[in-house]
Amino acid sequence: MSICPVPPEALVTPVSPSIPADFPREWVRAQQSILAFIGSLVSGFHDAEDLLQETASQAFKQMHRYDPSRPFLPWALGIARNVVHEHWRKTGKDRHVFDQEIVSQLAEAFEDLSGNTDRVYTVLSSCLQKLPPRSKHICRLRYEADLLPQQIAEQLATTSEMVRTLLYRVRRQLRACVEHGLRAEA
Amino acid sequence: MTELTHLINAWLDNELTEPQMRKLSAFLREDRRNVQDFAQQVELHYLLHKTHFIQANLPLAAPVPLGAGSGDADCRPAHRPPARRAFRYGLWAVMASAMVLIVPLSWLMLRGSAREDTHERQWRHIAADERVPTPLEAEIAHVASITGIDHTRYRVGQRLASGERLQIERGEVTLRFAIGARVQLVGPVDLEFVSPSRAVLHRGQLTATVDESGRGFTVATPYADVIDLGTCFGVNVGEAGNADVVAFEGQIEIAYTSDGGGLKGASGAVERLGLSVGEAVRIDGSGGYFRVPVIEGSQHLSWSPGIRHTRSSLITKLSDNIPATDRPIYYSIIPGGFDEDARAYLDRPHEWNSIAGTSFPEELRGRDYIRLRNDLKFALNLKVTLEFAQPATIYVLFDERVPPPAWLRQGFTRTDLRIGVDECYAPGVSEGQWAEGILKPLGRGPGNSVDTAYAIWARHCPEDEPVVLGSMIDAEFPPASNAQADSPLYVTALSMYGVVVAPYVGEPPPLLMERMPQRQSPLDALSRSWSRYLRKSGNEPPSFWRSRN
Repeated sequence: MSICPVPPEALVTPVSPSIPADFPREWVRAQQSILAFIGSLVSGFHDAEDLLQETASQAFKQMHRYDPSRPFLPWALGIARNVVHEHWRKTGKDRHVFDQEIVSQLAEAFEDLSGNTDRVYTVLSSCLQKLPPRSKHICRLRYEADLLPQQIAEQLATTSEMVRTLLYRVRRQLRACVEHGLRAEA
Repeated sequence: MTELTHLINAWLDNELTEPQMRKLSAFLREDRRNVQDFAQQVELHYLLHKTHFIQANLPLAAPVPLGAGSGDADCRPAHRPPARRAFRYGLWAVMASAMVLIVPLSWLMLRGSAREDTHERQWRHIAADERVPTPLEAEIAHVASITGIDHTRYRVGQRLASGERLQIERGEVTLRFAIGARVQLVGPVDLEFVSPSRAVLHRGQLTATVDESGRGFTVATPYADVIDLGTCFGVNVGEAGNADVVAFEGQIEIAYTSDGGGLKGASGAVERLGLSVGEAVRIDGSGGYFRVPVIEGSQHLSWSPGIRHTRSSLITKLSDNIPATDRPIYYSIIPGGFDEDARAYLDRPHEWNSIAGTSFPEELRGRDYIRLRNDLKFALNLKVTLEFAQPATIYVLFDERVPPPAWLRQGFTRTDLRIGVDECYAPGVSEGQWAEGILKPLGRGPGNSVDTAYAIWARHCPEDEPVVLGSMIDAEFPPASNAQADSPLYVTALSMYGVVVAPYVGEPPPLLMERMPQRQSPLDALSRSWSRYLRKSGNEPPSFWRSRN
């Protein structure tokens, strides 16, 4: 399965000669890792997606600074990092978040993971199929409806602690399944 | 769960406090492997988010099963919730001028447009199914049907305008509101028409089924306004002006005042209460609301808050131990309602059906059915108490995939009768989940499309003593050792039991068998092995284990 629901080839025809031909394709490849990197610095899908959009905007404006002979992802993560710092500064959270060293290590970790993201996504999709059908319901409430444990608990007439435990177990099962699937592929 | 895992999960669920944030930072600084672990889990978290988003926006793989199944098991989806947030047009408008980045920012952009497409398609389908005559502009609704009234000034097709009142003492009248609401009235009732989307119920019972176009349709009562958010709901206004409000499908909002004075010229603060499917409350003049724990009947029949206590009533009381601070869920008693294709749960459209190759259990056919929320399967330490007007037999229909809990094993006898559930899909789920092949239309009739087998357990109560039903799993159920067999996650992910009640007619029916050998639960195995050990060492096992041995 492609990482992008629409084939990138159909989308990336440059309309301006000043835009490097590979830039959109590189963005598509890197987008998921950039989002996850932002998601490791800012909690919540809403904020992370907003900052991804801001990163895309900044990347577009600074496109002329990108050197196509160098890897794209570290350059884009650098922009994302600046966008997140600006977000922290605006929201007054800069004293209550990870320090520069951790942020650098996280950027490196996501660079390392990026080579495998497509495979992880494919394996994860099949792992989800193997979950007990009703377990999927909890995943849907968390990941599709974007409900937090307390809200899920209200929907399911149970406690938020129970929901946290269920989510933890589902994540653990999925992670084990993905690791197993990647090993089997290898 | 290690402390680091706990902190990472709290981060993923947006629940990390500042002290926890400092702890997580310390863990990450301490060991680079912790950074990699955190990054892996966050990556998986966002891939899960992406997977669900894309699944939710796949094109329809099959026609949406509108109205499939029996009349009481309408498989029509509830209104879809609006997209979580609108696409940020401002930023993208700037980028659209370059047209290079905007298109590859693929799955984020699908939000909004894809949902709207599938949504619109669903509702076009519904609109085609229920054509409503277009009324003149000043007219609000028209009379669609009248039953149970010999002489009335109303006639089918009659148009009703703003300011008019419809008053009947008996019988039923169905109205079609021009904005897309079907309203059923049961006499005695007094309804005043205010605007195309608002009516005042002065007295009596109303059940409304509202289309997407009618979202926001409001029924005003003396102490509260009931506002549709995409649903089927009921309102019953008593002589004192109290309103009993039931969410039969989807969601509604109730607006009332904290001083109980009513919304017209309100002096107190306006409070808002959301109700979801399977929840019911009473709003009175006290400025608060109370749970209505039992509804007799359903949206497709006449219904009443509480048990009607007629001469044929078998159940006289139904209560539970759910705290008043929890969600105001209700239990539905359907007199004579257990049959082939009967709806199984309040919050799922699933139906009861005989399993292929077996006949429908005749002892249960036409008996009173207690319809519960399937989500009660998550409730631990649940106690539901039933009291009866006469000797009764209680049948519990219990998911065969789940080890029977102690209250069931000890208080009931497993019969050789079985029944199946034909599963549909929960209201509000997406077309993508439909495409997964797990969600499907309901079948009709015996043995058709059955997904899950339920064992039927019975208990005879010749002395009409109260019967207490419990949770799906024992509170002491052991922790997970095998994800597929005995994990609480797996067990609680299955389905809630159903309850059928019949008058006790003497000797057990001939099909009832002696207690059948049961699947050994891990707790049984543990107590047996400890009992053997104790007996070998000359000791007697504790009394609470004896029933297990």
